[in-house]
Amino acid sequence: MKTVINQHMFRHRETTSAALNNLGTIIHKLAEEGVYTGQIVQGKQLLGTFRLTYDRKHEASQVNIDLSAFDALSRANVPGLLARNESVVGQDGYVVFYTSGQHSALHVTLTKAQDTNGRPSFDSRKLARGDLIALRLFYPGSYTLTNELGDQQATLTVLSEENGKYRDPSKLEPVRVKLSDKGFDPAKIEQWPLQALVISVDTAAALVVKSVGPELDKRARRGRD
Amino acid sequence: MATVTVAVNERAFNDIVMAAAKYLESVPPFSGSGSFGPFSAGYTIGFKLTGGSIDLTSTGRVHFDELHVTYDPLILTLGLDLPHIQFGGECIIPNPFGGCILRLPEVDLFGANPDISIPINLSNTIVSEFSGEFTVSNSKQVLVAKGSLRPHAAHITTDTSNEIRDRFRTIVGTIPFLPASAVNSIADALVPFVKTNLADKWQFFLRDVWHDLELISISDTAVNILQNLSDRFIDAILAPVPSAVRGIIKVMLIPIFDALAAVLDFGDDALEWLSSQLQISFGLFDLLAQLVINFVGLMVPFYQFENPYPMIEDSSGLIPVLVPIENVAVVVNDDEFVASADIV
Repeated sequence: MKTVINQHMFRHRETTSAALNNLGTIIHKLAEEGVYTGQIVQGKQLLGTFRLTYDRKHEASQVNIDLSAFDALSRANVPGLLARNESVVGQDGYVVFYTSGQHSALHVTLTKAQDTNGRPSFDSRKLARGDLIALRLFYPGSYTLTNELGDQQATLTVLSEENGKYRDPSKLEPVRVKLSDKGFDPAKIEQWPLQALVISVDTAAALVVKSVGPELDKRARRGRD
Repeated sequence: MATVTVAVNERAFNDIVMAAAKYLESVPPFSGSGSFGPFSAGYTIGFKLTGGSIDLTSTGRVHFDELHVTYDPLILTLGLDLPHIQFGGECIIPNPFGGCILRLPEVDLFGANPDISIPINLSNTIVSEFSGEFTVSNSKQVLVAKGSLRPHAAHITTDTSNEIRDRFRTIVGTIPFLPASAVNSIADALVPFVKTNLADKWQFFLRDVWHDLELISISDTAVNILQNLSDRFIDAILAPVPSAVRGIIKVMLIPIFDALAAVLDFGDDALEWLSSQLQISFGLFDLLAQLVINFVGLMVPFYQFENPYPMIEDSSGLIPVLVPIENVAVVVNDDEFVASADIV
């Protein structure tokens, strides 16, 4: 029998936006047209680079960049996985960073080619106003959601089955949360496993999701009690 | 010129033919493949013959009645080409004028091209029944390899030629559905039962008039295996998933599980279901029936004797007394199988 389900998906229970794994997706809206150089770093090791062109006239409003694809080992093991060394995005210029593999501790920077100071215009370790982060957790349980660059904190509960059944994730709308200087809104969040939690960032942010209870934590067993 | 008539009663004839039929068990297990519904499937099959009877009839035919075929081994390997299942793709910034400005990426639940296969051992759990009617025919086998050898020399010369083997391979090769890999091994397995010396031989064969091969019984063990096939597939698919998240993954796999249940749902009659699948997907019964027909009709004679016939074999080293036999004819009636021949 072949093992067919991608087991890497279940490897992580926690995530941080500054050291991304497959539970998080970071979305950055480019402010200026131009050519950008992207760097993907895992821990302290450069995993790959890419060139990104933002041209408002281009049709695609977003470009998805799978960070796992820049790992040669992943490309060798996953048929059809290709590193996009050249990407173009148009219209509102949304760049979506995610990882389909087992990788963790990933961060990305974007540096505009014409910038003489050489400083990145985007660094996923420090999210800024206008950025979005989407979290998709597998394991039921209780979590804390903390902004390490502020003192904002929220509680997050990933629900367990209701009357012995889970909701079909494909039929669930994303849960939406705002993060500002004042805190998370709402500060008490509930979601189903695999339901997207989309956080709109309105302040400097490095988000940390930490598990604080077992997956069958009493609070998570809604529907059984 | 003298005429010899030999009559064999029904019981003795039964023993002779059944002994020949047992040669079929020497056929090595062979493999093939087919597909049904969303499944691809392979099989490895061999068989044993038990029970049944052979009757002589007043119509001049030989009637095979309920000869039981037990399949051993019978290993089916069911493979399922799973559809890709993706999650994500939610719209998080809708376009007020229609469509979507920003979507989350889709992620494939499966790491690579998803497929799965499960071996199912049904050895000795199902039985088919073979019935049919045959006429008896005879023919003389003259091997090219004999060349100009005189009868006594041919009698003592072992047949080391490939003539019979090649003829068998050609005959077996005409069976539809039979995988090419099995043709030579089946033919080769039966050669030793026919190959002796280079002398000419009178051979007696059964020619097919009609036949029927159908699945007639299935053990509780096999029913149980089939009933739990869906669960076995589900368990195999979910095996690598941590138990804490198995529930949510199951929800995502519902379309696959529903398809499995639809294909594997045989209601109350597992026998009918399995019979239909084995025949439709593999043409298995056609294949086996044709194997039997070719075996008894063209390959292995149920009886053969040399021509000239070694009437007196002398173990002291003297040459045998050989009697030439011609004009062999056979008749079947209610009680006997009768062969007559002229001694020339």
